[in-house]
Amino acid sequence: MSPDKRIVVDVDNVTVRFKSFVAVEGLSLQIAKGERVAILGRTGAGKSTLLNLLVGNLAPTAGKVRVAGADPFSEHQALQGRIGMAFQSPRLVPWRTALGNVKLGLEILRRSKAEQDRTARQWLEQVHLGSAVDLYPSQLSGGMRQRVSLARAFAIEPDLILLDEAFSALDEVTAADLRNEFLRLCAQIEMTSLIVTHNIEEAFILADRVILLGRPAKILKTFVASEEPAPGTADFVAFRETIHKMIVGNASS
Amino acid sequence: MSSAEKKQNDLEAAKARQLMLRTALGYALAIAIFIVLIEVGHSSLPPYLFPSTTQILSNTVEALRHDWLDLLLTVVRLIFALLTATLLGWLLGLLMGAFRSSVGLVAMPILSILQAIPAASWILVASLWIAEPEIRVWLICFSLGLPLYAISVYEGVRDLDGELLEAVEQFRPTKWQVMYILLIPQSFVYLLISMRTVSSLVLRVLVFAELIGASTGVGARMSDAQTNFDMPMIFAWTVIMVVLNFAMLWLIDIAERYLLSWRREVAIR
Ligand SMILES: Nc1ncnc2c1ncn2[C@@H]1O[C@H](COP(=O)(O)OP(=O)(O)O)[C@@H](O)[C@H]1O
Ligand SMILES: [Mg+2]
Repeated sequence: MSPDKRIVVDVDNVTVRFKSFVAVEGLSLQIAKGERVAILGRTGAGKSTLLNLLVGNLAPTAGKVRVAGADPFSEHQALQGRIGMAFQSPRLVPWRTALGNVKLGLEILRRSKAEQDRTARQWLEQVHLGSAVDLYPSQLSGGMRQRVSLARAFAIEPDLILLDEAFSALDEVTAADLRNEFLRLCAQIEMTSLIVTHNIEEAFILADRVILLGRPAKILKTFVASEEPAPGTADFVAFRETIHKMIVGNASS
Repeated sequence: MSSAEKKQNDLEAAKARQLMLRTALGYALAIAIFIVLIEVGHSSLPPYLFPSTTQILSNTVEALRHDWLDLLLTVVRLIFALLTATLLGWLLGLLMGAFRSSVGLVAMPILSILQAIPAASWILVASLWIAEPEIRVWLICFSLGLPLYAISVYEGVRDLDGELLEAVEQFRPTKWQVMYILLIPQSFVYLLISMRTVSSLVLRVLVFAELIGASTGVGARMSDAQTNFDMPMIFAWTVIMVVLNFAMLWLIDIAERYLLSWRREVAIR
């Protein structure tokens, strides 16, 4: 049990090894309820691995992972309906329409047929796919598929939402729209979120706290977004440059 | 739909039409070649060994008029054998896939050995063991189709994309939910795809089984023709079976197009 009920994500000194390759090394991270945390890091830093730990697809080699007090891997079922994740690729069920894919989580949670339908349609509207409900993934563009995958994760209104570069494949207008939508929803249902991105600006728009991850995954530095220049301001440009150097600089070490 | 997408669709439709036209031309050419070969054979061999095209056609009409009941019987046997083999093969393959380390582990080698047994052995053994011709013919076809379906479905389930499974498992489904959300539809795809080859194979073996072990059906009528040294009739039944095979494939094609319409490559073809 987590001693502090406000702590939703508790990663304690976690190491992940794939055979001899170390992907995550001694990582510790806590996220409080309602907090939005962004993770920045180079490709191969172990960002997706961290999310896989939290969603329960992967057990740590050493250390402890808790989501709402439960181990997402060994107590998999205990967290039903509490975690939603949009993966780096859409991973849609190819023989289900957009609507059928968004219903997936609601179906597994055994919501009523009427609620499944209503909620799924509502979420497809939110991601601007109201006219594509009956199309199959093979009939959708890459960006549209990614939006279906977002709607699928959001539709169950989880306590913790995990986004793995979920806005990266979208055009800037849709991405900006969805970011706003995302912020509105987080505020509305006090959703906790962990957002992996390689877009520095996006990290500071979406998150309260931005974590820079080195390779193998360990925390290089943490920023509190409210204490840094706001995205869009002139100061942010220089600030972004510094962060960019820190991320790239870590590669050569 | 945007105008660019519409243009793309029109382009694809035109391509599909062209492909269809070319396929039709190919078949017309193939039929022409067969007719020429038959005529060459007819003019270089004695007529009782090699009938002409017109003889074959008139015998085909006669066979259909006179022995349509045998044809019908063969079709009914085919449908029944395919239905039972499909249904049980699917169930078995699904169980093998869902319980890989138990059912899969035990059933796979058994099916592989069954598959290695020549159809002729089944036909001969069944003819000697089983007195009832209907059961005999059914068993031969069933034992041929079942392992093919089961293995194909099993492989389909094993091929399930791990990333897709992870995406579904984030919602913490029960084993049964994974079954009906992913495994059953996935197995269904493989079942449909294997249906084409399995049905053709079963049809060919069915006629052979009738020839050896039944007094009714197309195979039995071909056996009669052989006894009477009625070459035109043998050719006539052959033509009928080829047409039947194509009709069956055409029906499977329609089913595939309808049931797998979410797969783009099937939709355009
Ligand atoms: N299942 C796995 N088996 C072996 N190596 C893996 C596996 N998953 C990830 N890795 C490796 O771990 C490292 C981190 O991967 P990942 O977490 O996907 O990085 P990121 O998302 O930050 O780009 C990479 O070098 C990757 O090759
Ligand atoms: Mg990644």
